[in-house]
Amino acid sequence: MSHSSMTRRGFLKSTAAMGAVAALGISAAGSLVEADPAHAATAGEEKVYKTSCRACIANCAVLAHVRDGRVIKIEGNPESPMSQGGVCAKGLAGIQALYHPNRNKYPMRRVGERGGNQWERISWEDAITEVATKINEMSDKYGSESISVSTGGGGNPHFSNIKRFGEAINTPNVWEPGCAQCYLPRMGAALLAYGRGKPNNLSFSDSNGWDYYYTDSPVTSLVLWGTDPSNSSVATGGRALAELRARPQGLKTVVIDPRYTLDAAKADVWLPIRPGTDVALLLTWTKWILDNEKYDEEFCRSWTNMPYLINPETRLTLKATEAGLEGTDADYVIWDPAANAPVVVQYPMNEGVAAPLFGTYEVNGMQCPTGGELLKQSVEEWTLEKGAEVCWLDADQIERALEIYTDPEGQSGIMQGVAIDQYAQSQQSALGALNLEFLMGNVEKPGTMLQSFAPAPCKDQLGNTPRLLSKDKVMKRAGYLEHKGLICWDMAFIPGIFDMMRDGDPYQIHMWIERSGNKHVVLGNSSCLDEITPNVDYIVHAFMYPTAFSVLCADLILPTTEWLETNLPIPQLNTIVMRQAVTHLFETVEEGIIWTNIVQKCAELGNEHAAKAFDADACMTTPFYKNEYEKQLQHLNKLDMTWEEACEQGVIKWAEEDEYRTYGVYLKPDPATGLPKGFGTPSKKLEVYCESNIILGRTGAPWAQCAEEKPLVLPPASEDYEPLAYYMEPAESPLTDTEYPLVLTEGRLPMYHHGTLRNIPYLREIYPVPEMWIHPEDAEKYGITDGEWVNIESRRGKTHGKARVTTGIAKGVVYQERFWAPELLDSDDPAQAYKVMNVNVLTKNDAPYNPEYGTYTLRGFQVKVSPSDDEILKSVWIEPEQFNAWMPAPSDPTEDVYDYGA
Amino acid sequence: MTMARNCIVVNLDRCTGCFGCEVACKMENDVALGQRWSKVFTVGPVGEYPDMTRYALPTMCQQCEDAPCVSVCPTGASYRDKDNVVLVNKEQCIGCKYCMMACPYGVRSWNADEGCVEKCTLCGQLTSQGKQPACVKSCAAGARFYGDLDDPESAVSKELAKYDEKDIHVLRDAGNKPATRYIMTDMIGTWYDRVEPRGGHQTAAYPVED
Amino acid sequence: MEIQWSLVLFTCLSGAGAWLLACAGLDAFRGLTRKATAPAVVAALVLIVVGGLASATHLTHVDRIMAVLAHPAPGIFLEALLLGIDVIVGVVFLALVKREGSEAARKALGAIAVVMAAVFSFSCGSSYMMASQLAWNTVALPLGYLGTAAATGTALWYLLCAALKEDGPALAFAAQETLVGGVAALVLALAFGFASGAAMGADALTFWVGVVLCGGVVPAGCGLMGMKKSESALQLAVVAVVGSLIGSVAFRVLMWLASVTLMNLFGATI
Repeated sequence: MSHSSMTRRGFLKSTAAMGAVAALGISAAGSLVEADPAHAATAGEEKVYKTSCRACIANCAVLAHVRDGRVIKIEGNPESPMSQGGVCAKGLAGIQALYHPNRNKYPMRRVGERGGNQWERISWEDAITEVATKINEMSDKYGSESISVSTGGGGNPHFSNIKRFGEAINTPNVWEPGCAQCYLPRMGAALLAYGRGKPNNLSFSDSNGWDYYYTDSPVTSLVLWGTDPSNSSVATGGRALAELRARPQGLKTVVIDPRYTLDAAKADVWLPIRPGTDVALLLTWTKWILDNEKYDEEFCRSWTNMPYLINPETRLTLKATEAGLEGTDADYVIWDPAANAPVVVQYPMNEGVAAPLFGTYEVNGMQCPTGGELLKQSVEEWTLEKGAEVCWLDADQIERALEIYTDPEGQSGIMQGVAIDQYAQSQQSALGALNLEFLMGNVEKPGTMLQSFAPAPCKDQLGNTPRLLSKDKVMKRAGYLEHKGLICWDMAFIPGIFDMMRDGDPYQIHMWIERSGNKHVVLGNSSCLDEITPNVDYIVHAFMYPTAFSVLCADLILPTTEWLETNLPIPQLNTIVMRQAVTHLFETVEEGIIWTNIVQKCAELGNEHAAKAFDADACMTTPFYKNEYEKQLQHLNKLDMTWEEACEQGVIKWAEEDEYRTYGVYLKPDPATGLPKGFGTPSKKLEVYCESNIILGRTGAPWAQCAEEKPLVLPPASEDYEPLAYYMEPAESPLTDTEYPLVLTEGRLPMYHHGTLRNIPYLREIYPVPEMWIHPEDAEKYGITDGEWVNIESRRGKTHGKARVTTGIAKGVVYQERFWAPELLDSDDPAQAYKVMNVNVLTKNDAPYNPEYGTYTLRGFQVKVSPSDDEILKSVWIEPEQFNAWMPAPSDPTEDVYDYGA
Repeated sequence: MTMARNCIVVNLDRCTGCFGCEVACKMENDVALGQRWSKVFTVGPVGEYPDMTRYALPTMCQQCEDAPCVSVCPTGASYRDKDNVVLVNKEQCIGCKYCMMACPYGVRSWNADEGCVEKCTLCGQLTSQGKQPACVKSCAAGARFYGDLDDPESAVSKELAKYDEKDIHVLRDAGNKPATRYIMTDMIGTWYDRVEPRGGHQTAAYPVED
Repeated sequence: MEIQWSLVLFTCLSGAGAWLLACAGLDAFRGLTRKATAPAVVAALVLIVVGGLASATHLTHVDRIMAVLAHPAPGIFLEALLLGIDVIVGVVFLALVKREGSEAARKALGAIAVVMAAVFSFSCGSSYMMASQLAWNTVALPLGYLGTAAATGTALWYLLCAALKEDGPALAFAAQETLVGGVAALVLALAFGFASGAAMGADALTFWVGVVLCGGVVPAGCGLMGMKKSESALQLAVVAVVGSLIGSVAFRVLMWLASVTLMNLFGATI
């Protein structure tokens, strides 16, 4: 590749000297680049850019003040209808992130042994060529599936980029530690049972629940189930709740959380649930609603599959052909009590037939229960008392919560947080919560959580290209047949990937390309990486800063961009909030541009599959962009303006509020039939009896596809996926565990996101080390003193936290959030950076897994605690002044961000 | 001198305890690590389940009417400006720290580099241009307000007017008459007018039993 | 709060000096001593000035100290003013003694010196009476400053008299003054100890041993004994000085340790 072709593709010229060896970490600043003090001068004119934060997933609109190419101030942009001018600590500290002295500044190649933390600077051209050459070599020698690609949610990521990259280099083994453990279960369940869900689901912190951003929403109460918007979506969701509560009529809330969060503290009812028992409480709620006839009977009859008869032999809805009725095998059957006979459903519902929701009826020699009957049976044992006993709750408080949720005078909704995605019952929790909303008719009405408002004309995610992979290739994806829920996002099963990396079972993974904050901090049982990564021949890490993963595992480091250096349009209600690069530092490159350049290089070096990524016919969807300009066009999608025009506006209102807030979309007539559109399920009904889950497990529908086939019909998983939620006691349970008596839960903090930002001075000084919350009775029992270091141990490992003895945590439960110590990277034992205070060395990534998604256990497992005086704790930075080493440094300016390609 | 009572008013019903105001303040005013002009605590939890109280309490200079920091200052470095705002003229500060001892709330900080006392200035550099203080502008929950308590048209007066007198609180008044008002209704629970930080670098505070 | 040694030394030394000057001044009325007055006044002036200088060492901007004079207010301004006046009183008194000025003038200056000692040592403590400082906001605090300063000053006077081998009546009277100083320290410090809670607090040992025993009982006891037997005056005076100095320092140290703030939200240490 010539130098000019590199430039054309959007890379920067490399002018500085190469080859100096340096360590990454606290001493990196001085060793890499001479500061240019002139650049810090503030003589020029100040320009204010409208852009959008990406310190977390909320994407709040901000104003970036720039002078002489340097960002000097960040403020909120009041034009955003979601954040309304608010910015949280993370966003405000964006300048410290941008100008962090330890930014990865140039591509760096490892020198010496892995873990030795010695690096030399190389050019982008050399880096791209090296990676592309390795990809092609590995593909030829072992097959392209031997290359694994991973990403994560923290640190300005772009999910569809990396999926497209994996598909372009022909590997099915792309994964991220969220996915099955974060958001996919809630989204997947909504796609299956509601037929929408991308994104219309119960996750408020993933920017759903759009009606709640309007104070005229008739919502009167909300159930915050394992979610804390005040922490997890501070200026958007947190703000929205603050506005709703501040209305004259207020907002009643129920918070279900082991932690007495500030949202819980404002709630009418706080249910400090035992981690891992959410499904037990969901079943309890379901039974109470059924027993007390609080459900919306007419809605359930017309718009759910509760009256549909179920074939006991197939476990699927009974079809006309099976019932001996006239019709096809796409026709559903209900019971007509007047005729005392089964009848075929006349969509949307047979007039004059009061089809029962419950009961079992004999049809064609079979005893066929209704969907509603099976729901009823599934919750039979879950009385308030039983629910209270299993969940460690007070039955009266559960009932108070239910009365708020089911108040006939009000309108409620359920917000479900990531907590339920983080153990083996992820899909069951998601389906169980959706069923409550379905029973109550809380669907697409003013004030409900589930909505189908008008979609924005732009795309923040470009979508995957699953049809680039052949059947042969996709079948090699880890966990593909057993955990078919992962196909929704075309992602691989992480424990399966690790089996391959460690043991070559069923084949060896030789190469790993990773982009995220710190895999050691976010993966379950993360110290398993110690024995896994030595077996992987070549590891690339792309991120903005060195992490434990870079130092311990990587062979090559690629510097990526902070959010102030990147471009992306983001739909927010009836507006689009633009993110635009307002500056650029060193030789950092936006990850999508890195990926496309690697793919282009692979193709140039003879990789035939890689070339297909740029071919719309081969992709059968939008192909991979080749440069920043093409990328911007793809993201703008149907928004009819240039990128520059869009950025100039900053926040673009593409619809009036009433055009955007479209209620009752399922009732709108389908132009083809004149009948209501219904929902996106096969029956167009809400699947309270979620047969789509069974079908997913048996065939991979509706998601499996490949180059040759769509749909791709897969062999069944080893066991059926269940259509209704069921309770399973956690594998490690406080009811039986005597050695590890306490249940651990995690939970979000407002000043951090995932594993990121622990290197930001103004944030670390607020919360320098993780607090371990423990109830006073437990603290006394285990000799724990408030404010002292504690050992926390599980069957996987040991770590530390600082005790906070508080009644703000359920008895028998301890809480601690993920953490790491970047200050230890450049120490004698860099592994301590991730081990010293990281709950993920305790978490579980072994079976049992969630059947649908392969979710492993990050919350609701057993630990023990004891006072600690471990020597290593003295190395952890706690004093604010220690973080001075990380205060913004003068940077190496780069004038041209990209050659945009047009 | 006008007799305005310019101050920050915080609606604790709205505040989510995100610490954004702390960082906004430090970024705007270039406050050193270890020092703060604005600090958020979470008070509690106190009480027995299910009747418990926990809330975020953002703190800063309370702009006392009878400000002890001004009266004890030996040089006049602690003073009231023409808008009646309590400020520190760092050029006149000799570093005796009497004002820090005299402040009933301990919300003054020590600038070790310059050897003088500092504190919240209500972002005079911004408000003099008609802008909001940084912490108010960026407040993620819309919980902070700035203005003159004596001006019924100010943002603080309008927000306070929405609430009953019983829901409007001040930190314990030792005769200094703090101007800063905290709005907190029984949605949250019991207001505590005297709190004590938990110690160390922690963000928690507990009510002090008298 | 952290112990502010500069301020401890300031009020301890200057207070002792002021009371030493007061004892010399009082002698102008009694005329019992032959040699002690002039050295006592010199020593008192040295103590007052050294104490005053010590106080400035806790300032970061001594260069701006003149601003204090331009801003009359209680606290530092008043303390500096009183300190200055007391120095002038001492110098004038010394001049009168050296030049054998009129007895009336010496008595007048002597009386002023006694009043100044009380006012100055009280005012040093009263600077700390603040609504924000719950343990300090009691008149027992400046009274304690007064009492402990009086004990040290009188004991120093006793020591000077003994060292200069003054006559029996002079020593007996100096011992009597030491007794009064010790009792003042004892009673007033006890008052502060109970008013502030320091007597029962975490630093109770410092209070009972350092302040009460060393600072009050010891000088009072020495004074009492010295009134009866003048032959061991030097030993008694040394013990009284050491005890009262320990007590005076301990009292001031205790004040910082026993600080209870209304609220110290930012946790900034002073």
